[in-house]
Amino acid sequence: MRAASLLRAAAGLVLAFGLAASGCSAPAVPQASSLPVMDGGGDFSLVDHDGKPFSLTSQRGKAVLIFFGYTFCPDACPTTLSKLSSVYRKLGDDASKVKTLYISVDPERDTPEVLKADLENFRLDAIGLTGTKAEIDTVVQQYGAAYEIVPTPDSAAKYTVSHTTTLYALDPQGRIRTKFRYEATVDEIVDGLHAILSAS
Amino acid sequence: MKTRLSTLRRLVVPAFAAVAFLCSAAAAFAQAPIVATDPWMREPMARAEQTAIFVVLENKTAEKRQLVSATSTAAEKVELHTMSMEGGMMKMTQVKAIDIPANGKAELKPGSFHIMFFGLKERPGSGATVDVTLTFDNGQTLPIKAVVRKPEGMR
Repeated sequence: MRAASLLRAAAGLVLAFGLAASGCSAPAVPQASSLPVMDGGGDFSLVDHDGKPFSLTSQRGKAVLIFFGYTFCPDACPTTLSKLSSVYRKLGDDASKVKTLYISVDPERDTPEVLKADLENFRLDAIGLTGTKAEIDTVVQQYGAAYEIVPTPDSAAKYTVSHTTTLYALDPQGRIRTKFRYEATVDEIVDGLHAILSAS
Repeated sequence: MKTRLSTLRRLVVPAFAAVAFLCSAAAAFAQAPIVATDPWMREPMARAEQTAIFVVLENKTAEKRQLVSATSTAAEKVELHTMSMEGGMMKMTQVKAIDIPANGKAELKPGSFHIMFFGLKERPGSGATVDVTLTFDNGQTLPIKAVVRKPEGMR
């Protein structure tokens, strides 16, 4: 049993080195030192789900998870929120050191009240953020995200919003330290957050 | 004589009925080659007027089938949709039909094909069931009962 887990660990190390050597950015188990500060991101100001001004600088001292989405989204966003709820549960003591920011790319439908009601469905420490389209576009650009409003005249949805699903993980100084793909597992995100918090 | 005739009738009529029943059962089976497994609805979020239904549809025939529509009295509008990752963006698209390959299956699941309910008329809680009728390209209909499930982490 012990030998098997040692073997697995060794295999993991080899894999990690292999990936690093090949320049592949697929995150293996991240170590603090393997999370260099990434380009992009930075501070921004929007409106929170209580209708109050919000600035990223208010979250200094916490690791921050940021993702873009919209509450009308029937699938990807609830799936992400479900996953993040599990992340919080698994974080243990570190859960209080992590804040999630859910930035709407659908300010027309996502008023602060709608965002608040949506987030209240889930067990996680999250703030829903919205703003004018111009304000949101600025943050989207800063983080290298993207979205597109797609009119759907034949559907009761009226329009849908295609959007990137990257989850950005910021360190307590507000710098992007890692990005998770939509498919990232709960454990990968938990490990990434532990690494970010232990590095700072 | 009359008694014998009626005895005969007593035997023959049920026999015919039984045969007729078996035939119709066989016909019904032949007409119901799609088997629905594990139909479920994502519990609608507070105040949300839309949600998704998922189900695995298995095609027991050697002929391709398509799910062409779904209806339910629980929503104002029911549509077929899919999610796909295109150019790094998650895209939600309405589709006209969902293919179920011959002797294969279509999995309506999160992140993929699903049935969308718009304008929910009621808010069924976890464990409740919602009636949905599926219609296929050959005109066959299939009633299913979707069980409402709470996604993990949902209050």
